[in-house]
Amino acid sequence: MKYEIIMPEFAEGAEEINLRQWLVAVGELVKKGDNIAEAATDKISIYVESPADGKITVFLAEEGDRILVGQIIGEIEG
Amino acid sequence: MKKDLSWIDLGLISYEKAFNLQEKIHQKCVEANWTDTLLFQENNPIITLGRGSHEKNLLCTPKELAAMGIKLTSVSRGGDISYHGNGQLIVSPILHFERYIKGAHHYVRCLEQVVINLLGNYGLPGKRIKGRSGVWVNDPNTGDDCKISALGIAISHGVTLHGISINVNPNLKHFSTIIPCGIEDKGVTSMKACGLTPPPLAEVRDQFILAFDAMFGTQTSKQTIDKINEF
Repeated sequence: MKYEIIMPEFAEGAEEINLRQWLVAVGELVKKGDNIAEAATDKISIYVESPADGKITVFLAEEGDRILVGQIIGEIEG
Repeated sequence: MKKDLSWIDLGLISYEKAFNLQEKIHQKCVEANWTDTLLFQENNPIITLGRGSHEKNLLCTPKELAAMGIKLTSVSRGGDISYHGNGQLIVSPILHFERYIKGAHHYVRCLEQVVINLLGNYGLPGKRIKGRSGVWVNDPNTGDDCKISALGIAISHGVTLHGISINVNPNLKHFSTIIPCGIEDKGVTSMKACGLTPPPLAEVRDQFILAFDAMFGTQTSKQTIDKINEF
């Protein structure tokens, strides 16, 4: 089953969110709740969690990209 | 009904040691084995580089900093470069923040408001400046708006880390080693520099707790460092 990695809603209100770094690689196995990416506004670092156990299959955003709340930034096959 | 919170004051402590304790509490909060906590501390002089730091905002070499007794380290919070040192109260709320407030940016604005309310109790009018985080006051020495409180937070597993600092009576000369938060055209000030008799940090801590409880609808009670060491 495919799961989407989504920029969480608690970042709502941010004028700009940058995907600072992926903390995992495509093909890597992750567990639900693992921190898999770090995003940041001007004063807030936000760690994005894995939505499920599984394998990272694709990144849909690159490090340095400007992203929006609710945006799908990657996928996991669980 | 008010939500229960703990506060712990680490007193004067090295940044590294305090951050290790902060991470321990954070982990316990994430695992629901510890109440949300306001962690207070005062650090020996140190410059911290946030995730958004730019090298150009550090104006001294590590060797020059060492000669002044200032350490240098990278940290996991958002924001640019910051200085911490004696006479500055640092507050790190370790919270499931969405239990109290909706949205990370609203949380940050509320933290600023807590400090504005605290300063107001000392007769010092604090304010925000649009597009710039932290709390600002009009410095009577220069007539300029200067930063008196800086902030930078991280959110992991829905629980906050890092927080906000209040310049009570730090050595302001140490701030000249950096461009604080990367803001070139504004200075830094303190409660003392604004003409106040600097209150003890413990008093400012207690005022912060009162203002925080009023803002967040919490009831905060003291916890001891011994409990952390049992982890």
